[in-house]
Amino acid sequence: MSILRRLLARVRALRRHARADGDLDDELRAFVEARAAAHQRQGLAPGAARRAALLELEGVEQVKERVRDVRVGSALVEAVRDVRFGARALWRSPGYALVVIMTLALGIGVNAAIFSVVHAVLWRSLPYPDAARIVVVEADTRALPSAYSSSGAVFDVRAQSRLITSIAQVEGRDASLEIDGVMERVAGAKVTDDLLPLLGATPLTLGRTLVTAEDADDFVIKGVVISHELWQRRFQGDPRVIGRRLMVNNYDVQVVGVMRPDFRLVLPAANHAEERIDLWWPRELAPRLLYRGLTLVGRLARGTSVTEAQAELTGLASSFVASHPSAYPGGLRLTVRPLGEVVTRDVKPALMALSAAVGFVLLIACVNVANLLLARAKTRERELAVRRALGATRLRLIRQLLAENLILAILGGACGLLLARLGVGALDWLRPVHLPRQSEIVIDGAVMLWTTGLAVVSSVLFGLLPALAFTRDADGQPLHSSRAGSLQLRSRRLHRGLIVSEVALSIVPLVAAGLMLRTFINLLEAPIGFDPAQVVTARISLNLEEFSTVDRRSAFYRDAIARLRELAGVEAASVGGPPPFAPVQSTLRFWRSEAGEGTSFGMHRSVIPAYLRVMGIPLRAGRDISDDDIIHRRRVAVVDERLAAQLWQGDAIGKRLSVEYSKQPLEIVGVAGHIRARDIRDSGTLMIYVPSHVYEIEQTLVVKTRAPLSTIGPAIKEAVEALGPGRPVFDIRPMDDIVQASIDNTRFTMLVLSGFALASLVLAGVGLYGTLAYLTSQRTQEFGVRLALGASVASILRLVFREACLLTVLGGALGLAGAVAVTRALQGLLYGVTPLDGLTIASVVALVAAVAIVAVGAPAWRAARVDPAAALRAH
Amino acid sequence: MADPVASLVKGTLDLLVLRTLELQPLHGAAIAERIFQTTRGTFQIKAGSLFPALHRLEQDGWIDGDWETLPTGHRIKSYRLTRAGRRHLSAEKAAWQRVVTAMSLVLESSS
Repeated sequence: MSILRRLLARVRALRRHARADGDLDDELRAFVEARAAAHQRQGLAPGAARRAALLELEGVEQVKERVRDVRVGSALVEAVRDVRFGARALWRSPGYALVVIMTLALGIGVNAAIFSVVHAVLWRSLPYPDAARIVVVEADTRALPSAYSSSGAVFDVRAQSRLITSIAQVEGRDASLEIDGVMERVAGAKVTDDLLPLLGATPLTLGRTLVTAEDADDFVIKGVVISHELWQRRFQGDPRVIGRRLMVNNYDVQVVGVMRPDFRLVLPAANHAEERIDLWWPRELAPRLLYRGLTLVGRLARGTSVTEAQAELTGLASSFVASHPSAYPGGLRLTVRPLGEVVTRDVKPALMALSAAVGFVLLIACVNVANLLLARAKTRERELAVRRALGATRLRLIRQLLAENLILAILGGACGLLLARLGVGALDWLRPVHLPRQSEIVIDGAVMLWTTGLAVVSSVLFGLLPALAFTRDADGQPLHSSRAGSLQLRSRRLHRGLIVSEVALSIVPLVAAGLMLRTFINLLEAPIGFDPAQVVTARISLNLEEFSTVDRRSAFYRDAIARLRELAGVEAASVGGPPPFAPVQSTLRFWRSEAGEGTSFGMHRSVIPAYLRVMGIPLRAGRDISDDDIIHRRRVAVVDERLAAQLWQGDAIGKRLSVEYSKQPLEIVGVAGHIRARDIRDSGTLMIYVPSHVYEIEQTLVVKTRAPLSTIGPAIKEAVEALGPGRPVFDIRPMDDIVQASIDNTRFTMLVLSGFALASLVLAGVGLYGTLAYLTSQRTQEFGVRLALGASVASILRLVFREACLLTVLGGALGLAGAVAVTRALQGLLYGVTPLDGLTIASVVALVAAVAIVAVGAPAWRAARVDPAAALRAH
Repeated sequence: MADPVASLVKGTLDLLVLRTLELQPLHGAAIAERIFQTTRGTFQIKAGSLFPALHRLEQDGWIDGDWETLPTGHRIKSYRLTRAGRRHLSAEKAAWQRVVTAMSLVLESSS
């Protein structure tokens, strides 16, 4: 009540503050006039009376100054006094202050680090003008969810939608770029005309944006836009760069434009496009409904909501199905989602899990500090009582304790920020494979604000309870120590409560980390269907002018493989593409030729003989593709065992398979083991292996070798490139690497989560030990009495252990209940393990129990060795 | 203040002001005059002490100021005791009485 009243008075005072100075002038004038009048009544002349009155005032300015001090000062002065007093108190016990600051630094630091990630990745709006209107259109058929779009779908949507004003397709891929004879690999993007204007990239720094009609000619690129960075790096910012010719993927092209500096392409993870694109080239749109797999980006008309656009597209989708029933056999669903949402969709669950985990770390840190504070307040009990007796109000004592805590929290927060900087620096090392906008993650003003807020909140969190508990007693005046008994009892209850919550809080992140660890192990051990060990892959890009016919290309592959086989350490070599786990792989429809139509989707590998052997994919029946097949251009195929089972109940050899891109059916000559095509988690994609002349694509060399990458890599490149120009070999990587990279995101989440879980376990362990040791030392006298009265050492040990075990079990039970509720949210991140995994939970319980036993062991041992006589004398 | 009596008891000023305002609302100069008269000249409150005290009491919510416009066109601010101030005053009075009694006991004890 009294606090509220004072607060209101303060607020009124603040409001008055603006006109207060004028008021004060009036007040003082009135005073002088009144005094002058009084002097006049006593017989002074008007002039003299006024002089006397002014003299009495002793300087208008001085008076005003003193009043101002009162006005603004009181709150500030008191705050400063609190802080100074707090700092002095802390200075007297630097060890305590250090432990608290370090604990808080850990708790606040991990939060600041994760916040800076979440802020940059999830919350900040995309770096495009009017970004809220940019959407992604996803196309699902019944047979294939997230199939993305075919070129024809873009064509149709663009022609018929009124609410989506522009729509574009984009495909990220790298390219070989040759300028003045110097070649390099750069990140590129193949985009339809609308993309750059849609993302607000226009006007460019120089030149114009891409126009398919001029910059492409029946799939041959003629013009490209280059990045500002590339322009600076390779052309030294020469303004005459427009019209310059360069070689892109062996095509002679000209520069038509230079992008704005720092333009970033932020796309959904499925697109696997780099954010920093050096080379943009045109992609033609044609009304074809073949290859699917590309992201479709659109811009909503001004004032249109996503819901309205969705309604329109749902209508369009059904009209597409009606007009092209064969292209959309399983129906079609078009979904509109804001680009920002789609971009972060894949990382959001992981980031949310990490945010929750750091929350737990901070809570545990706060509980630890609260425990310390309680223990310390015990020793300050007399100090507080004395100050209370000398007239300090309870409010004032609480404020002083809180000020002390605030200092600690702010210092902890500052150290935490340093920690967060290190953490953000470590992001590169942890290499999450597709964390969108990773380059934008910085410790900025927003992060500092958040950290400060956290520091203040945590200072209240860990400080308020102890402060309240300890000043309550000060109402009576317990200067004599006998009153301390009730205080001790209450603090013991608080300590116990804190132990329980500490154990409970540490369980949740541990269970989450355990589940992620099991997921990671499961992924490592998942049957991917091929053997990546000792396989080196290298991409090769053929110049289509030089290798203009199918036969010349086939001959080249044969020659190249022959050369590779001669290299030392090479056991086998072949060609096939796209490689497993390649970022962009199109899916195609296929069916039994007799059936005439079909709804199955699968992926294709364009291969030459021995591909299956090099990749370690077992042949279940029939034969591999042979040299004869290629020489005679036979239309044959090897299919996935699951495909064989699905269409022919396993007996597929000699049967005929129709595929979307070919009028003639393929004869099945072999059945291969099932492999995971897109990533380790993908177990459902069916695979069709066809000879390289049937399905032509940029190829990849695969080499089985025992030689290390450092020697075999250059040897492969040299052997192939020595055959002549126009066949650059690049991107030489072990297959193992590619497989590992596909679980980098899981690895990242697992590592970071484990780090946080470990931090909480250590904090909880230290807290448990400290608190139990303190509680036990408080009972030294009691144990002395018990021992003196004949209690055995074992019974004392039992006493201590029983208390600790009870608290741990209670905390553990609460923690498990919490874990069950929380880990459900991890579902989407897990693989081969359920959130209620018995093994994980049992391990966590065992771990926490072990930590608790260690934590209680030392204090119990000390308690048991109490010398009764010494203990009794101690007080 | 040269007068030793006046500087004797720190914190008495607040009590004096509150007590003075208990009878009727007054403006600054009138408060000083009333205290001067009532204490028969013992306490002569100067503006440099009075106004800070008034503003402090106002901020604490014990007193409240009201502006009036005089016939001369000048404004004048008079202070009155709030209800909280009234409660505070009676508490302070009681405390003061105890101090006075205690002091007298000490000063007048025969030993």
